[in-house]
Amino acid sequence: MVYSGLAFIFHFFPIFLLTYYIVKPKYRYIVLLLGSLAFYALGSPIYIGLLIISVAINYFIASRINRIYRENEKAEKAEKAEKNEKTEKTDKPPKAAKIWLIGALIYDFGVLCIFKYLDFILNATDSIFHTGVTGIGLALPLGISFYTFQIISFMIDTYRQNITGKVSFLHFAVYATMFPQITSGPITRFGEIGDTIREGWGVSTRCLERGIMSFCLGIGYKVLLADKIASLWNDVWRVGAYGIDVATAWLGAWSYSMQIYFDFLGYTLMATGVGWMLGFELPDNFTEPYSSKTMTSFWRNWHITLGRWFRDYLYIPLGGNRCSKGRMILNMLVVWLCTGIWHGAGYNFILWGLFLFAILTIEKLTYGKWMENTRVIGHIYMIILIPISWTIFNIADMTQMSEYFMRMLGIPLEGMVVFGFTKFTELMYTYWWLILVCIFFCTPYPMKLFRRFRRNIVVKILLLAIFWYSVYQSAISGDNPFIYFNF
Amino acid sequence: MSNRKKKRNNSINKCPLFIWVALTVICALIMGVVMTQVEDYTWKLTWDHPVFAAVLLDERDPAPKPEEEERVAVIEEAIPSPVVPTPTPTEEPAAEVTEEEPEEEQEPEEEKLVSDEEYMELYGEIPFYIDDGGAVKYVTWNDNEPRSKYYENPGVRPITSEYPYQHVEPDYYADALFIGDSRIGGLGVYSGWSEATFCYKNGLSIYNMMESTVNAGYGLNTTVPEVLAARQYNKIYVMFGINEIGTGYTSDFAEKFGENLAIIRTYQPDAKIIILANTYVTKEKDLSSPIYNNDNINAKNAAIAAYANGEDIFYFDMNPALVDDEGYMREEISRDGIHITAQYYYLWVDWMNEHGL
Repeated sequence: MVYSGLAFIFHFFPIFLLTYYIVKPKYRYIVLLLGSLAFYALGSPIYIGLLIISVAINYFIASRINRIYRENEKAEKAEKAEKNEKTEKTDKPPKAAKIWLIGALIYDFGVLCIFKYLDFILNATDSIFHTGVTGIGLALPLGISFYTFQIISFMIDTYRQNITGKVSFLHFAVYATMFPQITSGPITRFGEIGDTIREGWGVSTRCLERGIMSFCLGIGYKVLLADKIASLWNDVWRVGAYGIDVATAWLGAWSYSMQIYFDFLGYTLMATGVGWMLGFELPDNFTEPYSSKTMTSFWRNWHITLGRWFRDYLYIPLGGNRCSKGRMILNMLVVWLCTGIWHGAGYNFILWGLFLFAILTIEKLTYGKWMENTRVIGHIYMIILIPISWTIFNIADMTQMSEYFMRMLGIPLEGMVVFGFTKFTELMYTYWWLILVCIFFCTPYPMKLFRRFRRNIVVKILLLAIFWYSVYQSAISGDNPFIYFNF
Repeated sequence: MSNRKKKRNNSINKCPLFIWVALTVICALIMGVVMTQVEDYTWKLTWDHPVFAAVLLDERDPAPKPEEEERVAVIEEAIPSPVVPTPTPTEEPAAEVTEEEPEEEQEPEEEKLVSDEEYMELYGEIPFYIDDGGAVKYVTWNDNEPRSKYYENPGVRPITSEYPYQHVEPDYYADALFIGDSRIGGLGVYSGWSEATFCYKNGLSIYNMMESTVNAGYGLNTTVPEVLAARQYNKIYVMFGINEIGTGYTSDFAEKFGENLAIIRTYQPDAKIIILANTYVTKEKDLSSPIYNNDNINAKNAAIAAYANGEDIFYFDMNPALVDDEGYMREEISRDGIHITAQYYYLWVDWMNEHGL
């Protein structure tokens, strides 16, 4: 079930919301848990068991870790009383807690690996060593990358004792399975929403309004921008590298860049909107990434919650940048390789991670700071780099990717025929207005305008219109513009 | 006004958008319920696509259309072809099937759905193609169970109209008009027939082809009727059927197809109209979808091929140039399973060049 789909908007959400509001704030988390499980079961019925098992195992381990800390504290107190002197409180977590944490990490990453990467690993080893064992074609459980990361965040925070107060099993289950963010983030920390889950939050009218505005805006981004510009990329992709010239290749890459941004941004806005309507404040995931001047700042503004996760739970524990230059580069390599692999199982994602690592390292060591202070050059630099990085991300097949890059660089392919009436002219005639609109929405201005006039009645009417027009578009395209229409 | 009331009013005023959205959604839901209950809902009811009912109906069941008789009359008037109104073996499977009475419809169908040889054995002759200058012939297709309840497997496959075709050069297409969806768009860019007119739009369907703005070379700034009225063509190639594949029954599609052929004919009385077959999809695509599969495509092809009379309306099946041994579109010539990649359009083009009228 997708948030922009009719089933969610007209069936699931109204029923859920009504139940949620009727129930006393104190017990709302139970409604949320049941709703989330139902949401998950509707989307990925076979894997709901896996989710519940993961939640149970992790909660068990987390409570073990907590107990170890409590016992340690007691022992320390007793020791202190015995010796009757001030012993320094040890900051180091107990060893037993570490072992439990490692156990949890092995389980979580293990499950993630089996469902997400096993096929890829088997196929890769088969193609290299001819083992004869190929992938078994496991379907990917819905949102596994997101909920695994969210659970791991909780586990590490528990280990670091960053979570205050008691967390019951149901509270943890709500945090791990919450339907507004299970499919595509934002990856929240327990500290951010834990209090709301535990104490319940009377939803104010301000929250409702904020939530619905965010949702309407999000559905607009997803249905009216992302899905529309997707057909431009589709148009380029399906004719293949042999049918396009340099300009079309770049146009295709730009359109894909815009599509992925609007799609993800739209989803996040809808998720945070749903969050607001339930009384939660979910963290921001995007802050105008496409107006960045360097890749470094791009990744500070793109999928912020994922970047934050890698920073806090991987980069800093590895030593971050407070170490030798060589070590720092190694840390960055690990982080960006992991970021690449997290996005998907495929050579292209590894390559994409390496590409980002290379660019970010070069920026950090050389021109990054200078570029940040330029006015125009930084933007031009990013206008070139962003589509390159998303093209690597996008095209899984290495041959097709290299063909596409050859066309982007203007290198003719073998046996290529040049046609008089180019694809580029055709696309520009068809999509020029959409391209202009999309470019405008890549700049910070639409959001600035929105923030400034959000209380204005005209904006509200506009959002209502956007909502219904998006619903209409979803209805006539059978939820999926790629498959049902726009050929 | 009591304090409580005031407070409530105040809080309502604070979230107007939420209230509006909630109210309109509730209205839509109620209307959806009512409209589905009274059962007079169709996709073609006053609104083109009633969102209201869409939100409650998982299935898009087209109900019988009241203006059906009028439409047939229009078609008869414009195309005095015996093939159109009279049911043929291939039109039969596409016949209107209502949910309530599937059995009644199926009985006669199964009698008529036979191969040519069997048909001849039963009835002596096949009425509509013998010695008529090349109307459509049918060969046997598989007898798979339909994978979607909106489709029936006709069991036969139409083949290209018989005619003494000649080899032609690109300039042959100078007086040709191509109307269709994105596949015609691809042909326009990659055929090299620079003198032909291509009139298309991504996602264009038989249901909206006359109203939609379409691309005739310079963006979406014209319509099919405008193009048809602008000049007289000798040959008009029409290709539709893939965007409609998830919408309505084959009979709706075929009917609308005939209606639009009639409209084209009124603008272009002397042109030869060529119905292009829908190209098959790749095996991967075929197996992955209950909708986008070759059985359903063949059902559509069989239904529209029946309009060909071999005199001024022809049916072209260029699939033999594009498929593998099993009858699927060759994997290497398509990325999405439906459209041909640029460098393989020549297969289609070469086939067409061998079929000059």
